[in-house]
Amino acid sequence: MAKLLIVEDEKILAEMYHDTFLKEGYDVFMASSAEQGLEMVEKELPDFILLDILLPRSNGVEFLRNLRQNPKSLHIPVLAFSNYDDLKTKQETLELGAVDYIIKTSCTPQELVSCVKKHME
Amino acid sequence: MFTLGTSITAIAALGNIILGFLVILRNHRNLLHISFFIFSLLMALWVFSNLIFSMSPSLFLLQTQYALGGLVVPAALLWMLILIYGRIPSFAFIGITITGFLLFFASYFNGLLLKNLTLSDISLPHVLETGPLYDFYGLTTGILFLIILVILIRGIHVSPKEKRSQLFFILLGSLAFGGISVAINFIFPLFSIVPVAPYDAQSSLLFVGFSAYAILRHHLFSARIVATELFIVVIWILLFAKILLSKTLGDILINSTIFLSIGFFSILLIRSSINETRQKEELQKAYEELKRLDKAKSEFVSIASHQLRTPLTAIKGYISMIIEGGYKRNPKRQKEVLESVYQSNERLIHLVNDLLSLSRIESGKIEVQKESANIEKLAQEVVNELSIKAKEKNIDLTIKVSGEKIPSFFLDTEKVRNVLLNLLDNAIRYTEKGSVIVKIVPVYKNEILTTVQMQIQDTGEGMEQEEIEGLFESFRRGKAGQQTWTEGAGLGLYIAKRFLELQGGTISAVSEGKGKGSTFTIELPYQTSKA
Repeated sequence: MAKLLIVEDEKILAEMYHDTFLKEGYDVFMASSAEQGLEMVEKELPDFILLDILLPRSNGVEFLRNLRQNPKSLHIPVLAFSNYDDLKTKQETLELGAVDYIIKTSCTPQELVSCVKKHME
Repeated sequence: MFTLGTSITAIAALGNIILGFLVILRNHRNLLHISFFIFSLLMALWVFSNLIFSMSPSLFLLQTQYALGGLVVPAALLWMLILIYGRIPSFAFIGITITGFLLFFASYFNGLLLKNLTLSDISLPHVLETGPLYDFYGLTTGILFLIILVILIRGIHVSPKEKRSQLFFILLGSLAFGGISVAINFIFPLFSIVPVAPYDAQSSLLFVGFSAYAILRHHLFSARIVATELFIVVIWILLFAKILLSKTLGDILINSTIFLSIGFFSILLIRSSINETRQKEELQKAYEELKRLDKAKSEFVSIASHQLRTPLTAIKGYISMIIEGGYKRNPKRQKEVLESVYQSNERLIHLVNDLLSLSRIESGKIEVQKESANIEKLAQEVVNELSIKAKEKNIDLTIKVSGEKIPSFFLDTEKVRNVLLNLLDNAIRYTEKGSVIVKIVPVYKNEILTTVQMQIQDTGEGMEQEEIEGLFESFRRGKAGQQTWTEGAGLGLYIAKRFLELQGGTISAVSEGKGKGSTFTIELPYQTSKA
């Protein structure tokens, strides 16, 4: 069973994605902040990370930067997904090795599942 | 005749005059510029009296030197006070001015300050016999000079960074000039010695130099204006010298006419140069402000679209899951999901309303509709509306009325309700534990009820001073808001402020810092009629 970490601070969206991926048979771990996400990475070493960008205190870009500095988590594929449509943030995220930057409203949870599956192949 | 020493003294006198004129031409109505002009002119006269004394020494010239010196120090103190504090209390102005004139007149009374001057050979110092008030003169000027140093040092401590280094340079100049002056005028005469060369007057150039450097370095006026002014001053000096060197009356008349007409046109030139630079500075400022606003607007659009998309994502996501039959076998979960959709929709409505209010405020289309209402009742209704939300977070939400019961008064109830709802909603959102208290306080002036105050106190996250400063501006939000990115787009407090201003009210916030809670205060005028 593939381990999936979802870093999402919006409770309502976190629950929605949790339900969806759980149903698809993933081993889902949730984090509501970048700090909690990094702790979870250290503990669970997930196979894939779904990362929101606007987070409390430290944002998703900072999370990625920290993730890439740790040899243990360097290789984990990360899919950034946010409703913050800012070109500079998008570029920064992709430069830090995110596989893609998706705008949440543009896809349904099921479409997001397909996207994750495609990147995990 | 002119030697190297006297030439340096002459340059120091001229330097003082030039600097004084440069400053007064920049703005002849500004108190700081006027006081600096008077000070530099007195300094120039004092240096000039030193120059004459060094060329043909006499007791009268030495008295003049002391008399002018007695005016220079108080004038310097007045200028420094204006530079550092922006104004002088009238008692200080009168006291310092009277002291200056007392020192001035005392210097001319034969035998009071200076008794006798025995001139010696050119290579030896003159011998000075001092009078009974000599020590008093020295003490007074010394104390005034010490006050200058103290306020300069204090000014360096309390002023903002840019002004601090400006004052530091002036302090360096004052110390150099003051130190040499004290040595020449008070320490040497104690041993009955008056040096032949006026080193103190020459050292005023150090003071002038440091002050000029301080002023120019901090862009009090632009390099272009200074260059124009210096160029014109050089032309004036040359033309004036030409008048002095004229041999016939005709030459004097022609040269004087040239001097006056060039003088007149050069003043016009300096003025136009100053105006042009000022306009450029204003344009530059306006351009910077436009750039800042443009950046803020783009940022606002990004934040607002993020805030709009979040509830839309939830609505779209959950509905797609229901359509796909994801909750077919779990009707309880399906009901919860529909509640989430409903909440997201509410959030969306709230945000759209805020955006519409903002747009109506910005275009000036919003109207005030006042009606007689009971403020306590209104506050109670808002508190009741939010009590469930507070209960969910285990926060104590209460209302307290101090003093006498407030009779109904005229206010725009819808707008005040909106503001209260917004403030209380924020207070609950940013408070993790503790309480949110609404206090209603009547404010009396001469025993007449004039204002009704509403304070919303919470024990929540609190704010730093810099956050409070930008809290009620459009397109901004406090750090706590920036970090969480939950609800709202930073519009609530700006709308609240504008809603209150429309009916003559105000809003303010205080906080002792992070983790120490916040208090928002609304003030409404107590009006018994619609107007």
